[in-house]
Amino acid sequence: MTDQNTAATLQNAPSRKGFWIGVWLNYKRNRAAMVGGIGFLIIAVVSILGITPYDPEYGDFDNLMSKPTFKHIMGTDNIGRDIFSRIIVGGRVSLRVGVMAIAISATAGVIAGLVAGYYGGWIDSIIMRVLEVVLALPGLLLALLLVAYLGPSLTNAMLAISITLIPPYARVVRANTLSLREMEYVTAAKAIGARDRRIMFRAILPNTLSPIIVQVSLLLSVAILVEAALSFLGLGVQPPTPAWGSMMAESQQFIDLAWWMSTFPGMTIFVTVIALNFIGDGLREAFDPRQRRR
Amino acid sequence: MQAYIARRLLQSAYVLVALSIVVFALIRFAPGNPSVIRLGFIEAGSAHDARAADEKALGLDKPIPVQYYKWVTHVIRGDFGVTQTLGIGVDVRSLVLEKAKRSAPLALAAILIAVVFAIPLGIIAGTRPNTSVDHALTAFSLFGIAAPSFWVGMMLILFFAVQLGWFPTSGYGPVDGGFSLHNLVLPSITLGIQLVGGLTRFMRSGMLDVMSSDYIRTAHAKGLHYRTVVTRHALKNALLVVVTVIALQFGGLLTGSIVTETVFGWPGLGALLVSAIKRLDYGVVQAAVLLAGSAFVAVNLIADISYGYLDPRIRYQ
Repeated sequence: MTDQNTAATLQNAPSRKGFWIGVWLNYKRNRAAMVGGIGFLIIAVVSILGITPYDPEYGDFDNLMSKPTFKHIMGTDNIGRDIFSRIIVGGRVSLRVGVMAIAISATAGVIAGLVAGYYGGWIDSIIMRVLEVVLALPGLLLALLLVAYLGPSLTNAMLAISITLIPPYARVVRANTLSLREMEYVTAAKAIGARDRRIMFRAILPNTLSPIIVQVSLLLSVAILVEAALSFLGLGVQPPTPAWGSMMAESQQFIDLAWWMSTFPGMTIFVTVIALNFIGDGLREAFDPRQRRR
Repeated sequence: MQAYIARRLLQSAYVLVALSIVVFALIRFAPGNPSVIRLGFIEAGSAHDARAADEKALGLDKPIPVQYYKWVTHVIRGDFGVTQTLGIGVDVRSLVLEKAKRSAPLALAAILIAVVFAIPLGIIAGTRPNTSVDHALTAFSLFGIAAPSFWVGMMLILFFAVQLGWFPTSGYGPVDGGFSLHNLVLPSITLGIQLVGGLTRFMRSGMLDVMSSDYIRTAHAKGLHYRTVVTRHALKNALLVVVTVIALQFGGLLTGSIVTETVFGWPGLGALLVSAIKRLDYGVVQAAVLLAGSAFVAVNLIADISYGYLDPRIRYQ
């Protein structure tokens, strides 16, 4: 599908700029994708700005475990810290882990896929065999194993998640590279003496960008979920730093006393993941309207 | 077909060997010395000797390849050694098997929930594309995929255990240690919802594909009742999807049970793995990860091969 897509793009697109405008026009028409996009934008901006109504570490001892009120719209925890403020600061941590993990895995995966697909032969075999080992364990289990080795911390959780997410990028890029390297314009580039690196990054990579972008948004949601699970299990972000997953873990012992402590952080994760899924599906359709889910 | 099976078998064997090396190497090079964890951080001279003796007893003084060889020959015989932190002299193999036995009812109940709900829901959605029913079911399956299982679990506890008091908040059974179905309900729903989400989606798209195929049009054209077309003609082929998807979801089942068992204090393999990682109990982590990894590889292998038999239209090169 994507191969035809890129091929069609090459022939039909009058210019690269026109292609992106077309993608945006398609994307804009999709209501779920727009809602998801705006929702995620709000979550991201609020987290990045990090403006909180209260100091997330400050304990309001007059309002310990307070229900959601006008003063504390999501309530307070067992030592009187404002849940809403902690979710905002925690969002910063969770999103940073997710975004960094995606940046690392996308870079590594794209390079691995380009090299494997372009050179083929034994280089391809070695890269694919290594990736098979990564795929031998389901994501969270592999991340757990890596964290056990590296020790629990924010950086290590990020690294562990990035490693588990390399294979999907590499596979998509490799598959596209296999077909793109046979195209006439690549042969032409070779004929005028372009170096391999230039062909890979200048000729092939730009034409395989659309599936990569779709993967970025979908896998960012996976990264956020895995980070939350790791932090929930006590193997990711360490206290007192708030992260969505670790806030859930802290709230668990008070579940019969304070429903708001567990409800709101979890809901934030859920909304973020849903938004990213909508964005990913929307982008997939925008890049290739024929793929629209029937 | 035979060549394909042979290649897949070889590939699986390679993955298992590579996995065992990775598992062994990662855990062996991990920070934190197991004998320090066992004996505590003692600085004095006499304790140093105790530590050296302890390391020798655990075989930690040998070169790494020797340790791996020793370990792998033991593993093949099913001997994973003795746990280093969870009780004195407890056999890792019997510990892991004991915990796996407790994880099994949870996993089976979750699969049962997934199949019982997802197949009809997928058929309903797939035969009515782009109706409000379809949209509602798609939203529901998206919920299963996007909601973190620890959150779903805690919300179920909040509502059904704390508010209504219908089910216990955690545990495997009554205090005296027995298993109780009552305790199984909430964790299995938590784990099941995830699987229902994924399975419904695949079932829907499988049904959609089949419903637009020529032989279904023929069945309609010769005047068969709509219900007959769906249940007797379309369903058979759409169900093929389920075989692969259950294999795909098996990974989700493994990781989901780690989180679910932690939320519900379910004394299974997942909870054991988490506590073993925190205590750096090498033997237990290796055994649990290898067991889960081998099961994962085996299930994928079986699904790939059986798919070829179930659907003769598929030809592997």
